[in-house]
Amino acid sequence: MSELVITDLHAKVGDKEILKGVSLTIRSGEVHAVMGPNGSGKSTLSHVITGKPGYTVTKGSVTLDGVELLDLPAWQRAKAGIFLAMQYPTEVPGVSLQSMLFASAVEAGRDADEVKAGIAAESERIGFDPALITRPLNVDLSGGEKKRNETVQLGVLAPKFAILDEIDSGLDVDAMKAVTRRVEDLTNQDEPLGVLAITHYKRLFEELEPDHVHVFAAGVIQKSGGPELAEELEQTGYAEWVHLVEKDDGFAAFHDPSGNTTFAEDLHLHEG
Amino acid sequence: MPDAQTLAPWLDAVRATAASQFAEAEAPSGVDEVWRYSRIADIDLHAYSPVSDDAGSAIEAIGIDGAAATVVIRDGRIMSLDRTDALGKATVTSLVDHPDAEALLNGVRGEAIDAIAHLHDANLGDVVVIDVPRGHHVPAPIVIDVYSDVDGGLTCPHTIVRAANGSGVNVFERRRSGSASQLVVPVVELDAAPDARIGYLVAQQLGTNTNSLEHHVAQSDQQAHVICSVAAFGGSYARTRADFRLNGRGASGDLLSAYFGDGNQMLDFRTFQEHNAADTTSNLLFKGAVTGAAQSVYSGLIKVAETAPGTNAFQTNRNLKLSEEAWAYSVPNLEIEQNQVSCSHASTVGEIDEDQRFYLESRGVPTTTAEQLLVSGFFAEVIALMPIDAVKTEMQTIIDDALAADRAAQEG
Repeated sequence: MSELVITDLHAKVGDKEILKGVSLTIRSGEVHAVMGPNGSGKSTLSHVITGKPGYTVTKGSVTLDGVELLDLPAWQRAKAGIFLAMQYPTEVPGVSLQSMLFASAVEAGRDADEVKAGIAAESERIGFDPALITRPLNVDLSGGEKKRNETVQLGVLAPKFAILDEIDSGLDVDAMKAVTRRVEDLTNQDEPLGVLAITHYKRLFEELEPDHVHVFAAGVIQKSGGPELAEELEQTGYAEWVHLVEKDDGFAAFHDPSGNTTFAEDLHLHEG
Repeated sequence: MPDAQTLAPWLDAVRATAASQFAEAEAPSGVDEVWRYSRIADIDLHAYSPVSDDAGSAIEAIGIDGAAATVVIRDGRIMSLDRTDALGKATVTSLVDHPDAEALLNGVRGEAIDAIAHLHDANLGDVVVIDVPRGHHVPAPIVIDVYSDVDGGLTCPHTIVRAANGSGVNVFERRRSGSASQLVVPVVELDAAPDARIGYLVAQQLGTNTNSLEHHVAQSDQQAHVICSVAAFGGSYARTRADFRLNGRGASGDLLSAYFGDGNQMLDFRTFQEHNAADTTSNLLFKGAVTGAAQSVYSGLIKVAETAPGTNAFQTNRNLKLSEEAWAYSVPNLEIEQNQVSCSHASTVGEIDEDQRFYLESRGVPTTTAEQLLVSGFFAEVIALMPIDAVKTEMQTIIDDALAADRAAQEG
């Protein structure tokens, strides 16, 4: 049983604070959905945890089984067991899926043949064209192929925790099913995967049932609940949250159409 | 130059005339566009002396397994010339032994264009002539291994490749030098008759104290195809000028380069894609990386004559800057006197893409390995297009090793 613990995480891009105190604990086998309006900082959360350049952490911690990830370079976080399935997987001309996973395997002390067999098995399982394994990563791939590619990597790298950043974006129904079923399987295996699924829509959960749903807006978790919260959001949308605007003093506030502005604290919004 | 002198008085005359022209010629200066950004002003062309026959620079030749012929040149002299049955009717000779010697020398290049060319002609060493008769295809590459190592020495290698109608040949030249401070002024002439195909690759692996001023001139007749490529790694100031002339209707060709500069060196490339006939196509792809305090210059001109409607000319130069101090300059140019053309040019200078590096890192690939994969992948595109399959892996390895050494040095 592993545990990913995010505590009071604050981060900024340039001078702009994007994460304003995020706390969340994910255990092996659990599926946590983070839902929120566009521009709320959901992707930033995934980037800060995995060490993407361009962000400054000003406060807080992210530990995996007690090890502080924020002190490690990105590749060591991956090695420790964190995987990021990207919303827009980067095109990498000149480097193939296979050579990247071989390089990762060398560092992890894994056997290249085992990795090769793993790539073949995972590709078959989710319908990823084997011809793409030795072609440049994500170059000239469709949205569906890119997300299948991410899922192949998830299966081969076998991390402890996966952060899925809008894995449902740009996917047709078939690709969506293939990808989410595979993730669901991984959460039910002997050493189950823990998942942090960032999404805008509930449709992701048709195959991947969340244990916990968090509403994320204005850099903090505004509300947490069970799967029923996703249902509720489906009915009401993000209207309640999307009016959160940033004040110059950095406080999240509701912008009332009547012209009155009320600070979030006054509305008894709680952080996850 | 005893052998050549006694055998070919006409060649002595060429040298003597060139020597007096060189004495009167003005040295190139950075004011000329074609020498802008270069280090030519730092080089005293008069400071180097021709290498004598008994200089004795020695190093083991590096050939290619199954080569059709291998020529070994040391200090400007042909030391050995091994021919195999694979040559068939093609010939590999020293210029003075060729029946068309006088017409062949500078037949493609033409008159000397500057002081460097006069210097070359005045100090011409043994010239290698590869002559492929009509309709004959040489099935394996011909290798020329060139080396010199004399302090203050000047060597002027010269290679002529002539492919007659419908013939084909691949030539690989390896240019090396020792640690002595020296000047190398090579000339390469490629002459493709109608329907002929020439693939040429030079691996420039000169020593760090060698300055090099190299000149490639290629001409393609009707429907001929020429690949003129340079893998440049060594030298102090190492320049390659390429004049690529498409003279016959439907002629086509590629100008390719992979270059990696480190230390304090400057790699300098000037290219001229000259379209002189209708329906001609040229593709140029130059990809380079600079690290340490190295510099690179790429300046290219596409010239389309009025006589060349239906021209397709493309020019792409991409540079990776791998350190703070390294510097890459890229200047593409077009000069078009014809309306019915399709031309494009693109040039970039950038660092390793941060998002690409992060993508690999987020899969557990250590930073240094990620950078090596990315740089290696950057060069793979152009190396794949080069004509000598047998050395592609070696060219890639030279770059991978140079990058690994650089990263190790940076990590201290």
